[in-house]
Order: sequence, then structure tokens, then C-alpha cells
Amino acid sequence: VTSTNGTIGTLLPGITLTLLVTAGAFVLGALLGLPLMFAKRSRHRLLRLAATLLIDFVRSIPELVWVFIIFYGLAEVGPKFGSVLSAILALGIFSSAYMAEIYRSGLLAVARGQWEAGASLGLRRDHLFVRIIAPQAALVAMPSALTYLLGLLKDSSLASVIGVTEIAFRANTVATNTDNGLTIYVWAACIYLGMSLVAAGLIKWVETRVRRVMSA
Amino acid sequence: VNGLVLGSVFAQWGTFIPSLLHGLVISLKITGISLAIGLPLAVLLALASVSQRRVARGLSRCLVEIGRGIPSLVVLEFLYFGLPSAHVTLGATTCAVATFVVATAAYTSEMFRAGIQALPRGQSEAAQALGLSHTATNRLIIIPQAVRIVIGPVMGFAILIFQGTSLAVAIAVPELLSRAYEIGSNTFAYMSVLVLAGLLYACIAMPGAALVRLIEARLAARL
Repeated sequence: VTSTNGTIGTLLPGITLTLLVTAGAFVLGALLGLPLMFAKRSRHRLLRLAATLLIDFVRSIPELVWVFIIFYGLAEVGPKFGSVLSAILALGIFSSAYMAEIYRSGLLAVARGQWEAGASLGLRRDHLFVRIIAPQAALVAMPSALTYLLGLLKDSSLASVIGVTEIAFRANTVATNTDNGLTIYVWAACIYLGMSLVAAGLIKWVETRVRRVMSA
Repeated sequence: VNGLVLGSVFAQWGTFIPSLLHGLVISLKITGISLAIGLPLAVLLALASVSQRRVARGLSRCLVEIGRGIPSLVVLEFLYFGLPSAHVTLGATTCAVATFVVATAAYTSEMFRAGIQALPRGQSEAAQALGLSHTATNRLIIIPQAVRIVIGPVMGFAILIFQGTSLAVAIAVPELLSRAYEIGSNTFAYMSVLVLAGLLYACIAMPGAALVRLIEARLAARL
């Protein structure tokens, strides 16, 4: 970080990393959440139990502890990831547990009759799932997933603790090196608030669209 | 060989545990105090948000949006690193508590509001018809029923706050994660001590989540 004055200009370049960490963690969580969800819906009891325990366990460890485990812990015993990748991995792992639950409740919301109708039409189970059930479930799960994404946007600030030069990190640098601490954090808060409000507006828009499609 | 490694890890954990447990107690205390202050504030915000006065509604809406829109870490650092430049210096623990009070008030007020709005309008109308004052209606009729509806989500949020106290590592409050980090930087056994800290968080959070599910199932059966 070169500039350390108390103006918003010091923080703006950090938005890229904030968005990168948020998007990276969300994509990773969305991908890792899939096998977890399938395991939790499995016909095998043991697999179901294992998935349930894993999801609960992953969620019960705070995000920042995951960040530290990946950044400080893993670096010591195995692969060394940079701070950005560590943050993405940690938040992604944590998110996968939430995403699995979001997918699952989406699937549960699809009417049972959809499965039965598809089966009675002679559709293969995998076709039925991919073509009929999953699109409806995705639609239902969309608002919750977006709300989770909005939460991740704020949680990406945790990456500042391990030195990712995103918004919160830049604010911290200014605050600890100058006497502009008050203004810089107010600016940081404004940026996060602005991004949250835009995202919240988008979510509301998607929600009404989803409701319209579902009721049509 | 694996047995040996495991044995030495456990021996190491034995030496880490006392300090980490002290940290855990501090994490739990911060959680408790934050909830004790934040939850009543949340109820007030929720009542304001369903008030007939437009100013109260607007103010409540505004505070909640601000509280939910700013990351807790930014609030925490604002209080600890930012306020001193305005010649206000608070202790680290005070800053942590204040941060989680803000988070609790902002997030759970939305739960309380949903709980209040879930009650049939007839409840407050009946109370008014019986001649109860506005305050008495809130205190005797609305709040007790709303609390029953929101108890599950609020308890779930309490677990999130407990986990969130780990943020206090950023301002060196000697809570669980700070102590784990300190031990790690002294012994270079980061992995071992961080995993142990993670397990200690899980020891509280997992039974907590199970309890929430149990209570929610019980209440759902009764309603």
C-alpha cells in the first residue's frame, strides 16, 4: 500500500481484492457444497450421517479460525498458500457447509409430485434430477444463496487479518500509521454499506422475479 | 509412527489446554455480556420498527441497515484504532463487547420484528379492547409470544456471536483464538494449537446447535 492518507482514494483499490476473495470463496463453497448435499441425501445411512457430522463440524469452527488454520497451520506442515488463496480456501470451506444446506432446502421445497410425475413419464432418475428437479430447486435456493453471498462480502474483511490488502486492511494501515483513523474507517464503512445496499437491492429484484416464475 | 505422532500431539495439547481454556472463558464472557446488552436493544429496535410513528420506524430501519451492512471487523477496528484519533480511547475488551452488541442488536432485531409481525393482529386488538395500555400490551401480550417464536433463531445467532468473538484477535483481546495464535508464534506449532482451538470452539458450537434444533422441534410441536 503506497498511499496512506485518510481519503477514500486509499481504500478504493482494495475493492478488487474484496470482490475477488468474496467471489472465490463463493464459487469454491458452491462447488464443495454439491457433494456434501448429495451425501446428505444419500440412500446410505452411514454416508448421510457422515455428511451431517461434517457439515455441522465445519460450521462450528469460526471462519477466522479456518483462515488461521489454512494460512498459519497448513503453511507449517504442508503446502504454502499465499494470503489471498488462503482466505479464499478458508472462507470457501466454511461456505460449503452453508451452501450444502441451502441446496438441500431448495430441493426439499420442490413438490413431491414433480418426482412422481417425472417417474411416471418414464424419465431416468438422473435425467429427472438434472432436467426437472434441479432447475426448480436452484430457483428456490437462489435468494438464500444470494443472501449468503452478501454475508460473504462482509466476511471477506477477515482476509485483512492475514494481510490481504483489501478494504479493511488498507483502512487498518492508515489508522495505525496516521491520525486519520476515524475518517478512514468511516469511509471503509461507507464502501461496505454501499456495496451491501446495491447487493441487497439486487437480491430483492431476484426474489420478486423468482416468486413470479414460481407462481406462474 | 502415526501413534507416536498422535501421542506427542496429545502431550503437546496438554500443555496448551490451560491457557486456551482461559481464553475460552473470556470468549464466553464477551458473548454473554454482548447478548445481555444487545438483546434488549434489539427488542426496542423491533418495537420501534413496527411503531405507528414514522420517525421511529425510519430511525430503527436506518440503524439496523447500518449495523448489518458494515462488517463486524470494521466496527471493531473503528472503535479500537479509529476512535483514538478523536481522543476517545476504549479498552480492547470494551471495544469487542461494543462491536458484538451492535451486531446482536442489528441482526436479532430483524428476528424479533418478524416474530412480532407473525402474531395475528387480533392479539393486540383484543388487548386494547380489554383496556390494556400500549406498554402493557407490548409487555404482557406481544413480547412473550414473539419471544417464543424467535427463541430458536436468536439462540442460533448467539452461537454465531460466540464464534464471532474470534475477531477480537485483531485487537489482541486475550480470547481463545488470540491465545492459540500467541502459543503458535512462540512454539511454531501453529497447526496443532489452531486445530485444538478449533475443536474447543466446536465443543461449544456443536452441542449448542443441537440444543437449538431440539428446542425448535419442541416448540414446533407445541404451537
